[in-house]
Amino acid sequence: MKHPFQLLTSDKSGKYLFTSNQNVIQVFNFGDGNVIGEWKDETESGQLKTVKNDEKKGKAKFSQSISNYIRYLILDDSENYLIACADSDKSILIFKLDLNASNCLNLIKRQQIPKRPSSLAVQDSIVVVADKFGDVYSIPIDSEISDMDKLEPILGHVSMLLDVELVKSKNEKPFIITCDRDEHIRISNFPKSYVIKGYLMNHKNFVSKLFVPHFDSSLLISGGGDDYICLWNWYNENLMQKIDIRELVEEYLDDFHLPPERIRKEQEEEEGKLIKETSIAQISSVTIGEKSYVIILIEHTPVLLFFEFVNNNLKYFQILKFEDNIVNFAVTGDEIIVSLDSETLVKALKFDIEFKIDENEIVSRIIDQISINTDSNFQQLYPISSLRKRKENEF
Amino acid sequence: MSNNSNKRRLYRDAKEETRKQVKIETPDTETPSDLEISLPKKRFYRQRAHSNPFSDHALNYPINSDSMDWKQLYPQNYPNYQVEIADIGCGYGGLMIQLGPEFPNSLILGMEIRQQVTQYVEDRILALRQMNKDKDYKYGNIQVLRGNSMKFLPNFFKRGQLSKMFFCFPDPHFKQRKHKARIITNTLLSEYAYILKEGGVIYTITDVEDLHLWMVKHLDSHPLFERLSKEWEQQDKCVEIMYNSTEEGKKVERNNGSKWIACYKRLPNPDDTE
Ligand SMILES: C[S@@+](CC[C@H](N)C(=O)[O-])C[C@H]1O[C@@H](n2cnc3c(N)ncnc32)[C@H](O)[C@@H]1O
Repeated sequence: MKHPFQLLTSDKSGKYLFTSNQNVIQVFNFGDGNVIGEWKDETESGQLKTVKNDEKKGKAKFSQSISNYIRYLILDDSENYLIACADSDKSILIFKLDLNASNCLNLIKRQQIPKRPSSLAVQDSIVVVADKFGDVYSIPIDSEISDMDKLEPILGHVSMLLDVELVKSKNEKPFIITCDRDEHIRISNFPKSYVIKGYLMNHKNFVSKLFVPHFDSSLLISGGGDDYICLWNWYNENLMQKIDIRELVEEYLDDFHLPPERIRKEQEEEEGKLIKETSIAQISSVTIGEKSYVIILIEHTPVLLFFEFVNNNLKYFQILKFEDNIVNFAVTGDEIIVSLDSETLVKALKFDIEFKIDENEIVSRIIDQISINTDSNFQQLYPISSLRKRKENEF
Repeated sequence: MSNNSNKRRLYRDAKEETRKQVKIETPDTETPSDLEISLPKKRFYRQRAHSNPFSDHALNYPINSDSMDWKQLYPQNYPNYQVEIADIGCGYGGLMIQLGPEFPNSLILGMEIRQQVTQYVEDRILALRQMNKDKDYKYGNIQVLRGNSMKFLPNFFKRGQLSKMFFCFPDPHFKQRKHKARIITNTLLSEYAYILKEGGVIYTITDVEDLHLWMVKHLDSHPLFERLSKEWEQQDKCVEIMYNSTEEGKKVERNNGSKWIACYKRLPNPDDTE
């Protein structure tokens, strides 16, 4: 059985599809489905095994903590570099893309950082990486590799950071936006990130995803453990809309979304029932002609939610169901490629009045070329729900 | 449960009752006269010395600073109800009790992470208010909240709201590995700078030299802070109060320990930032 892609991303034109599958990165030409680049992380993740033994008994542990997955794939603005993150040694990988070479992926830099990375962003040849310890480091694409102990954080939260974005205001001033497990979204100046501009606070649970749509960079959509997502004007620090998503996905939630065993009894007593929990796994957008749509994926569901952006508001547009849970998706030009946790593995969507599944040969070619066969645990495909805070014992 | 901890529990429960009754009191109803309000006894509020600032305590905090109802906390009528002075990790509250009468027109808030210590301070303030209800100064401008200052200050305070922040005898967290648990770090200072107004002051005092050097190092290297001179320290009322009034400071005094002070002014943001 083949392992589904855990990550998909694409360039602006939608010509290439960048994927990660366990410890392998594959790049596909989306015109013919051929592999044009491949890279495998050969680093032994042996050192990580000790983590497990050190773990104090009974403590909640994050399921993604031991692996050698490739996480986070992003392209810089020029689309000359692909930036990724390797779990094995907690490093940032910077590839120079050479689309004429037989293998387009040319690793030019592998920068280790002290703690496990949790997200990446890039702007004007500077990569920023947020980590699970709450710090953000800045790594210029062209600089020498730094000694890990000498890296100084450019900003930090006393919380687990879950996402980071680099943005520019209308007058082209750069800012960095960070979000954490304690409901905060912070906007800081960049690179003078010691000057905080403000906070966007309206979440009641962790904030796992930030998204600045390409059709209007003054907007920010945020989501995490809440039943809703927020639409902000981040520059004015103004909450424009809170959009309920629970109602839309309720029927697609299953036992995966129940709270952990250990708190069920208490919840049943307090609430009279068990409450299924939603976690935002991905936010993206696609523009078709004049119209723009925001796409939302809730972790461990088989549906994509579409909202049309009209009059500065997100208006529910469509829900599209697949035969199995969606792991990740990418917008390739005006199509959408979806990675599925099933034998089908990949589906493409095209727009025709609404979004529809498009059976196409290129997708079949891509699937044929997936090199990872596995029967191993797929749990790591769904790491977000474990971020939810649970009351700790009072003392 | 041991006999002693049971006694402590009963004492606190009784205080809790008093707290509730006093809280629902409206300006025109008298506090029932049989309601005994006395200064609380510290020994009934014993709690572990340390609290982990990284853990997910069951804390109450507003979703954002606009949702905070300060009127609930300060009984008298204050213009705008804007807290201006914060005592971070206020412990048993000694600093606020001295600062209160010194700044009768400013609201002062102590933030403390340990639940029972916070309750003690709350009870102490209630008792002081009651005992001074016929005096000119009634302790209406001081209050305590349970909270983790390393995570949730922006939930309570807006940009540039505070004019003074006190860090008195913060937990030293000696181990290298635990340095991120210190309440003054480069990255946290940016958050403190955000809620301090330009010209506002961070006050620090500690009996641990190593921690003093650490705080100085981080404050010195932060572009938004500038150290205030020894001369400034000597003429500042708050420095004197900070030196003498806190419970931890008194303990250091009794043990003939030294006290290190460092105060920093909040500088303006660079021109090219917002
Ligand atoms: C050594 S005591 C000093 C108390 C008081 N300032 C004094 O001088 O007497 C430090 C206090 O800070 C509190 N504290 C530690 N971390 C905190 C945090 N993150 N937020 C709020 N209070 C904290 C501790 O619970 C403790 O009461």
